[in-house]
Amino acid sequence: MQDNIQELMDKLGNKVSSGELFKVNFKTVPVDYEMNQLKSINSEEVEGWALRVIDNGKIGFSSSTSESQFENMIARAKEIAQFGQPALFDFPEQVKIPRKGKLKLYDRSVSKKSIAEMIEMGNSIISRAHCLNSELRCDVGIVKQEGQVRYCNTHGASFDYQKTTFASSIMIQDTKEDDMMMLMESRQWGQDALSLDSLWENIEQKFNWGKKIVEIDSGYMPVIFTPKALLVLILPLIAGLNGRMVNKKISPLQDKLGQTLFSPLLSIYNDGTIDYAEGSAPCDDEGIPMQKLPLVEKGVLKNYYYDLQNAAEAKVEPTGNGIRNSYHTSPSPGISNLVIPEGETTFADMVKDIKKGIVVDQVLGLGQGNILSGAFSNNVQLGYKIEKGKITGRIKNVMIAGNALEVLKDIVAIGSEVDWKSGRYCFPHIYIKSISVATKN
Amino acid sequence: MQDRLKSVLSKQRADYVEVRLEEYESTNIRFQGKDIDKISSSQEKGGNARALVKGRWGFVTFNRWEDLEDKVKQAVEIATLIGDEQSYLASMEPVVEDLMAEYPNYFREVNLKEKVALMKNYSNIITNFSSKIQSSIADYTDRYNVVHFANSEGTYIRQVHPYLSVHFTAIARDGDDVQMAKESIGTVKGYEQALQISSLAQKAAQRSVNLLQAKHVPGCEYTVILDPVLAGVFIHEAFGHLSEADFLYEDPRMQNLMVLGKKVGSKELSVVDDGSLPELLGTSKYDDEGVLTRKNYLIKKGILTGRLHSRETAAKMGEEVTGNARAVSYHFKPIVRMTNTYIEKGKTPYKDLFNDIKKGIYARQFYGGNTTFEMFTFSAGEGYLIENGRVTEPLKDITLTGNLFETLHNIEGIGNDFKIIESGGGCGKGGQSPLPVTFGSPHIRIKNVVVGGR
Repeated sequence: MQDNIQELMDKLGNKVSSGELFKVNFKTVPVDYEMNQLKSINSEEVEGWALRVIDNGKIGFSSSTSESQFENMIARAKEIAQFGQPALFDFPEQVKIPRKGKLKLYDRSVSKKSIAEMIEMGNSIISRAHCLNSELRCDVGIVKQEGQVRYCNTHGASFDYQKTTFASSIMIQDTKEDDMMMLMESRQWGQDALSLDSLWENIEQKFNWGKKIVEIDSGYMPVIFTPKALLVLILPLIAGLNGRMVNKKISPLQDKLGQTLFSPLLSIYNDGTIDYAEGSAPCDDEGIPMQKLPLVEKGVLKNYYYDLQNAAEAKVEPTGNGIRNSYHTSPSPGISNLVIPEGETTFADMVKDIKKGIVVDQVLGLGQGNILSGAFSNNVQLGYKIEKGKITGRIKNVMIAGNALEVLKDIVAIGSEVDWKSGRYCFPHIYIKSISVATKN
Repeated sequence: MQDRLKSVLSKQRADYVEVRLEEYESTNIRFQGKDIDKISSSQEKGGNARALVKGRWGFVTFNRWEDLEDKVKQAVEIATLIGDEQSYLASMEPVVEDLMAEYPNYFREVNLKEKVALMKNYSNIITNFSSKIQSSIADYTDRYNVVHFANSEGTYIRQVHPYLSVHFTAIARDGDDVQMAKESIGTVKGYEQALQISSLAQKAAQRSVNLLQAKHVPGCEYTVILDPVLAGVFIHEAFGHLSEADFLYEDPRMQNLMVLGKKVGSKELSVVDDGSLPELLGTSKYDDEGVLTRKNYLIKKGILTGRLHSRETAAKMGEEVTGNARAVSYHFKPIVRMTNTYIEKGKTPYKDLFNDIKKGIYARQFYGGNTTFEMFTFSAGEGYLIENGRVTEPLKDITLTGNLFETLHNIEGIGNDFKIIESGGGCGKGGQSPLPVTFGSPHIRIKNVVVGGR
């Protein structure tokens, strides 16, 4: 941290039993296109300081946007600690980052990327979209971000790292008198190595499938989730595997380690050690090295994920999942990156296998409803009908519903290709045997 | 401050420049079960500068107020780099006003110990409600925000935005079945609003326990009755968002769908957005471009009559400003948002709405909602089957969906009751969330609504 770091830690150490300081600096430059035109360019700088202390055995927390508030932060954290949660852990004595094969998170060429280059990229996306149909509305966002995370505590442990992110997102909208089709695709990665070719393949294919609207009857039928839509089934799992939920006995997955709960085709890893992935870091936000943690292996529940406090409560080792949503929140169990390894079936073969069913590509209402129970109920905002092994058109006004924890038992096949979503979810297509589909009578 | 901002803004070569400086203090207390889970105190200071040059915007955010001059310059530079068109901005008279208001039983004067004790009590009320309750969350947040706004036209406004919310979550469990019910309040009125809400905590607890008995709703098309909460969510999600002119102002095909004067519903249907209602979450005297808020009819007697604007969208569409440019914080630029949105009350006693429904659903409370233009979806917190005009058994996991225009025409009854809901949640758009808003409605009856289920 700054040269005066020792001074800050000394100040802190004199006032509390132990403490840690977490600091972030981020600079983000988004270039935004609306309705086919370059609309605005932003330059967004954020500085944040988070202080967590243990005082008389209890946890206190305060945050601010300026170092000048440091004394005030200590005073506030001490006041808070009077009422805080009893600390079941202490801050680490040292941060043990594996030296071998150093994790790559920073790409100089992202940081060097000029606004002119980003504009050029945006322009080429717009003109390519208009090759599909010159009357389409196309909104584009190109974003670069670079940042620095720093940590130190009163036991002398510290770490810091730099990180870059480059992202592009495309929304294509085709508006007619009685119909509107919206197609969204995006790519995000830590490295300036994004090829948009696969993204265009997706867009062109889905745009063509969507030209014709087809009717469908209500009932139970096979459903293929694209990587983009798969969070519908995975969010309840993320909630249920959270060590906090398990400790509080509100997870339907508690006391089930070692049991076969899902299809043997399904494996899921939390992995914070992947170069340039959005959720990767040498260690989590409280100094515990990130790792590759199996959550589900061949359908068997393997691990829950924990931060320091919840791991101590559960009397297990922390898993490197102490994540802060922002500098205004203290760490809690969170996912870094989530990986579902690819299977053996191509998407084309999945479609061929289905007599009558649907493909779900985008949903409305993700995460809305009682996630903890596993329940999902979503409007299929972009989806396609399969008849006799062929995609025949786009469906509208359709709801899918079920319980994800049940549905994941009935996987027919896992896709042979994976795709990264939001830079942190690496998912294949997943073909489910039967889901309730509801539509107009 | 006013003089400093004036001097910075007067030097710029741009069609328009504005500055927002903001500071806030916030306290958060969260109990889970009988134990404290999180407690924190945060403080933030920052600002932004937004410049318009030849139709394009440059926008810069920062934390150090001392960098203000540089940042304003930078915003102008960025906009100049890309400006290549004509700028549109509805004209307005400059305003100079300081609105540092006093609030009753102000939460900043209440000590932390008292707030902690209050939340502990609420969390215990939920946990002790029944042996079926597995856990509870009682979450308190207060925030005191001061915002300075100034622009190159001479406007300077200082506004205070106090905010307090309390969220209750009750989690009931029976074997592997975990059910959750939420209640919340959000308010600008002061700390005493948080004091008398034990009944709300009990309501959440009762509902989560009831949900353990509820059946899954079979997915198909139904006639539904929405309570004022869910009807409010419906009008916000399904219609309100489509009234936001930033979706339309540069898109001729979208404008065709939303032509003023178009008949969109029955004569009984009127919808209003009003940021000037006294002391509600969505209320402020001026919006975040310094425009006075006001009452705007969006639908009047079934006819599309208005929409929500920023200064830019109003100018581009040749319509009046409405006071709906809002930003969640200095991290974001103001975009077109709702304030307090409601369906005006109708004439039918609400109990009569249930008459002659052979098989339908009475959907109440909400988990959340979502929309993409014409399609919307929202989830009910609880619901019941209606059989032959009578409410019968409880249902769970009810999510409704539809096409906006069809659904507005399908509203076949509007009750003569009315309620405005101030929840602790908020509205999200373009990454800006949660923005404090309210919504309201009487009970309404809609035919042919698709409900997901199994």
